[in-house]
Amino acid sequence: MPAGLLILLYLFAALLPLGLAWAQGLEPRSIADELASGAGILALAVILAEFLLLGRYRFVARRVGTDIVMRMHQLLARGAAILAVVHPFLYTTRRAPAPDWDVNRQFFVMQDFAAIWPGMIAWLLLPALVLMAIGRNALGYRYETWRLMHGLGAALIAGFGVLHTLRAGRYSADPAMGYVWLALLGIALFALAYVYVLTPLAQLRRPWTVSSVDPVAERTWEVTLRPARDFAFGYRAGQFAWLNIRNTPFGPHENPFSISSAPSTGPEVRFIIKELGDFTRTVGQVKPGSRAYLDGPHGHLTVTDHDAPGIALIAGGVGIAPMMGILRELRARGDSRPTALIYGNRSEDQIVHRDELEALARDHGTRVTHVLCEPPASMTCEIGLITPEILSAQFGDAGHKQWLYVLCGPPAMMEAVENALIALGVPSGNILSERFSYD
Amino acid sequence: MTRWLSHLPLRRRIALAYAGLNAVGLLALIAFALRGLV
Repeated sequence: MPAGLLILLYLFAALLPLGLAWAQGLEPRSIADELASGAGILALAVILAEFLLLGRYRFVARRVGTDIVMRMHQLLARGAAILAVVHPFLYTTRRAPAPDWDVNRQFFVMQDFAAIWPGMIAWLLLPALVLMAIGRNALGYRYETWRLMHGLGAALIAGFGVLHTLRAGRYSADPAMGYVWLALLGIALFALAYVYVLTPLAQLRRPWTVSSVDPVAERTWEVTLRPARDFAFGYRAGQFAWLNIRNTPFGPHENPFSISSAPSTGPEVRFIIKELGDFTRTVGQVKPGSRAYLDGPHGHLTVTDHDAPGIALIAGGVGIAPMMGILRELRARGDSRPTALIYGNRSEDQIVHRDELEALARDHGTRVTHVLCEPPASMTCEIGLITPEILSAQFGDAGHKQWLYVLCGPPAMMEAVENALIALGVPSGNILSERFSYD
Repeated sequence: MTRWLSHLPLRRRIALAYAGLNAVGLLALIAFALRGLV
């Protein structure tokens, strides 16, 4: 299914309740009142459609990109929150209890407390949830805690929002529209259950065992897993998976990491993990033999289905993980296309798999360029950050415009590199990147 | 137009898609609110 059709499907889901309200043919009230009802209907529909934009559904993410789906999830939630917050203040009709003769609520807005309180709860929770998501890092929540609160909060908002519209909504009093709300709520909650119940159930049947945890650079480890039972994990080099070690899969204890192994080299799956956050700080203490679960593979940072004449990999720090997977896969397949790696780090100690990169340069012809902020006197490398000048020197000629460029690293680096490559005339379709931090 | 789009950074393409979805939603909302005038 092409991405354009998915966008049309999303628009259909988000606009369906508003269209049904229109189709009822009720006498319109004042513009402000209709705007108020319309804003509430649209906000609730967008909130329910948000559950389909979690980035975990491969049929969506494969076509649009997991990071893009998640970014749209973030942005659309903000728009829905604004509509939901303003919606009760736009009503101008009388707020006295509706008399029996006003069957279609032409002259009175529903004022019963039983109809209003679910809306008030959703009205309070939604902006709180959005603000907590925007300020997640600044608020200092553990990732797992935040994820649990976010999922639970979203389910409550969806449930109370639908209850409110069914009890208070002028247009939702129509039975057909009521059924549509319930169906949309059912789809939203099923989508949540898919992530938190069905996926963990599937993971129980596909357990992994930690084979080894090896230090590969300063505060950086390579974790190797092997299937604990006989099953295949069909991934492509460069993809990522949610990794859960030593915890039940029925919980929030999983984090996304890029896969650094090559599918052609066997059933073992490897991850390069830097000590940065709550879970990663303890990764070096994980014992071989520990039980692990994977949700994946996800992501579109893959090169094997592209027929570009050459492949350039540009990595910063632990962004080397998917690049190692890609380079290992190209080597295992005997892919003869020219490859280049530009790899930025602060210091020499942070270079991951330096020996293997040298072997790739020697045996596979990969052009490896190290860029270090603090290089030792003995090392030949570029100094500072990955600049447009370095990229121009490497990829400035016309032949490199058709190469495929894969970027992974800190957001500022990826943005600067993408801009520099586009300035060199590389089409944006030839630049692959995944970023999960935009704010 | 196609060339312009194909040389747009990802961040701008996402912003463009978001602006497009917002525009469709707001147009639908305004049309709904103003339907009594027609």
